[in-house]
Amino acid sequence: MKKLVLAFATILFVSLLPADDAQARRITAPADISHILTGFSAKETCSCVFAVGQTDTYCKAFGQQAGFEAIAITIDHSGKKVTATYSPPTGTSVTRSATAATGAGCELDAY
Amino acid sequence: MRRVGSVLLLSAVYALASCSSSSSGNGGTPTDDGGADDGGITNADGGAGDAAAANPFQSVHDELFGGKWVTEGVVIMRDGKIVYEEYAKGYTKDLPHISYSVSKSIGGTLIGLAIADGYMKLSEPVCTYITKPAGADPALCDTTIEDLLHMSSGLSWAEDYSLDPTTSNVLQMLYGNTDDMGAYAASQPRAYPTNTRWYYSSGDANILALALKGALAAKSMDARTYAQTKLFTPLGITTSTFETDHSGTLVFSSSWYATTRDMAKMGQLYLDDGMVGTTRVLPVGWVKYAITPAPAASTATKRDPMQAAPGDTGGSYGAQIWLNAVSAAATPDTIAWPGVPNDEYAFEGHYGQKVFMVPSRKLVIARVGNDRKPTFDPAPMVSKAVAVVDALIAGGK
Repeated sequence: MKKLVLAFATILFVSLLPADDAQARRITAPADISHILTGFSAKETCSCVFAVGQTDTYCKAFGQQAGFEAIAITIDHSGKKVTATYSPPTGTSVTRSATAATGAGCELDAY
Repeated sequence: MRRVGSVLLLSAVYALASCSSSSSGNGGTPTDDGGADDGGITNADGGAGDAAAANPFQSVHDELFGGKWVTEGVVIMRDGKIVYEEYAKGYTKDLPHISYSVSKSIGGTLIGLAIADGYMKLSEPVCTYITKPAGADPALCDTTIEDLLHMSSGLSWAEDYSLDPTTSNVLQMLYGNTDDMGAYAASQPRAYPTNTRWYYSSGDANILALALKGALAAKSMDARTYAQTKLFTPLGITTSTFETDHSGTLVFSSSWYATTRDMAKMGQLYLDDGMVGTTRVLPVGWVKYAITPAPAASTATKRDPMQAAPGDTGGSYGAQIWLNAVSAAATPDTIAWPGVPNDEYAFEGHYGQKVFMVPSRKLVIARVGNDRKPTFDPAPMVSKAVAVVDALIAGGK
């Protein structure tokens, strides 16, 4: 019994490794559908605006997936940042963002 | 060969549809390209009328801009000169376009340069250049740089975008919470012994990027600077962008942005066996190597039209480059693109980004677009362009 408790505690500890342990985060917490979708919208819209130079209207459409137009996309030109928020009919909304750097395109921000 | 890389992002789950405006080349913005700075440019007007009637590539125009596809740009080069060029949806000769997996071929080319410079070796285990991620399969280091170039790492990977996004590795890698994409891919368990099974994997491409970063870091060099200096600048490519992940690694899988002309220049570089004019850019023998079928993809496979979209089976794969056939003698039922010469090879990306090379016709076709559903079928475009060139040749031009 003592061994079982120890094993459970070990598993719990590993699952609670610090957030900056990217490897642990990847393995223990795969992104769900909402995070994937909003991540797509944020990243692709950001690259479309800042790496390509297309219009906001074009890029917002590019960053959408059919059936998920409920994802709201905000483009901050001065901050070189795109934020996508998915608000499901029920449950918690999800927000992802991507940031551009001059000459380097965009990176999807961690969450 | 199942061409899983061509399936649409989230297609089965989210029923994609085009999100562009409805106008195509015919009714949309005609090319603004009035300049002939690259020489030999035929200004193919997007509209109907005399200009279109005079365009020898009218059949290609009709295929691409006739409403069937969402084409946003096309550049056709014959013998090194632009012979047809057209844009739509606000794109111009100067505006970069996303290339998605065309980036893999650019990444593979950078690996070739690093090998020529002595920074990497094809036969070297990947672990020579990367830190083995925590939790990686003990046999990860069996995988060589060449295995990765050949999409034959044998590491477990789900590239299919139509799967549940939470189990699709490529979606987790690109849009999840992954700081180091190469490390994420390298941490996958081994599914097959290395170099025994071909499987199109954006993970393999990003492990290559991580390896290049490691090899260059050992020489105090940065991969983005290296790419610009060794590859893009010699080609006159000055406005492309290669994005990185949070770890600063180039995203070989899908994040090179370039003008349609610059994509065509990359194709021309391959067609010219790595030369730009009299200057050698790619090492001797690299192009031949890159378009030689990978061992695990060197057996001709009969196409199965019941299981895939046109072009989704058959053909082969070299070093981060798609091949129409395993050999010049391959039978039509085993090639990737029906009606297209066997010697054709391609850089291909999501949503219809294509760079096709047809050596027998000295032809490069760079086509960009936003085709989500249905998937863009490039075979008619290429076969029509080849037919035009054949007619020109027959006419003594």
